[in-house]
Amino acid sequence: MNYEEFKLLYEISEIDYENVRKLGVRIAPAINDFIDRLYAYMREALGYEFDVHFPDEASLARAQSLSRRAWLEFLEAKWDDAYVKSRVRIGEVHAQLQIQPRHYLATMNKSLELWSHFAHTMAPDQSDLSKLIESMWRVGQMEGALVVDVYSQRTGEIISQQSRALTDMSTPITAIWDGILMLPVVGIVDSRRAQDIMQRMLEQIAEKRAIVFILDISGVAVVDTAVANHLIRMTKAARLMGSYTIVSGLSPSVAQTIVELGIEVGDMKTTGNLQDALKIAFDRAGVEQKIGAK
Amino acid sequence: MSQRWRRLRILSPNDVTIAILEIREMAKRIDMSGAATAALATAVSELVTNVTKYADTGLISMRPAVQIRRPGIEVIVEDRGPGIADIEQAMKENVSTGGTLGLGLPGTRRLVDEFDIDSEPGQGTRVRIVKWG
Repeated sequence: MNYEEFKLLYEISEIDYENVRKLGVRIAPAINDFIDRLYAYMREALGYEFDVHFPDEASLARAQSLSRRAWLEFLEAKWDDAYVKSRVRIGEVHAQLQIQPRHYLATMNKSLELWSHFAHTMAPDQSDLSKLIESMWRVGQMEGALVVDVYSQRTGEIISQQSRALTDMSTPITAIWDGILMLPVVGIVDSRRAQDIMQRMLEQIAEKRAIVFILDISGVAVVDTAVANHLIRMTKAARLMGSYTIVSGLSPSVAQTIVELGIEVGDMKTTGNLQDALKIAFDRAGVEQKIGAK
Repeated sequence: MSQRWRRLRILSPNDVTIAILEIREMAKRIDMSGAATAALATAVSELVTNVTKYADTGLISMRPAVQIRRPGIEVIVEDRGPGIADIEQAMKENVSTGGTLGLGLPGTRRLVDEFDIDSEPGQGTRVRIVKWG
């Protein structure tokens, strides 16, 4: 994330920081009063959500002391690395606690209103007061944007973590016979998933002492050069471990695509359907195929 | 009647999956054949993967193409990455700077019916493809 971009977006210059600092010196003494009023507002406006986030006195006191520190930092108006880091941290905490962005932004708005009120009552003699207050609003709103941005980024990361957890669960390697393992791969295979599949495959080959490994790709949506590359590597690695890999379930369109792409599958054994793969696997594993015979 | 572009930003390798899902969705909507859909989805996968590998971020735009009684999809994949210094070279087989099979661009061209590439070193790359069927 480019923090300079935020300054650009909100048209914030050194003068704004100077203005906030000037104002900060005058109104920072009201910090305790500010915190009391802010949390009174939150209790009123957030209702049930407030109780969820602050179930007891201890967690409320902790949040209040964090808010206190964050606002004192704000009024000091130093845009340095430590400051940026602390704002990123605020976004992370909000994401973790699943605080709704609208609640955060409304609270930010209320905070700036409170500080404006203190500016008018505590520093009415300050020259250019309205300009100073305007700067404070702009910096405050930029800070809100920054926190929400971090928030949405973290939320995105949480979603991709969850989807990763789901794909992890979708690697069901099954021993279908003595020495024969099978894995049906379904969906879209990206590099991350391919690596994951390869690792599990090799582990299982070692553990189950598999002679044949059937990789059924009939449920794979796209076989591009990257996926083909992974398949070839899986086959090679399995061979090094003394296991024979059959890639089954190549549909006509996937077969055609592979040829169009110019992929050299080498001596990778492939079949059009699972049945043919099973036949080959049984032969290699020395299983007699007399269906119905005892 | 020209169709609206569907645009997706390419920000992370996850977006390869999203682009494939979107293109399959569109292909299904316009009744594209299975074989053409597989070829197109593969081409899109190649191009978007290239963006995430070489340029970091980019943009994919897709829309149903209009031709009488034949469904088609037009796709543009663009980025502002380092660009390709020698396009002719990149379009040859087995030329790769990314440590892979080196079949991406020439293979992608064979998968589709129309293929145009524009690239300027330091400016980025823009590939336009059309698939009928």
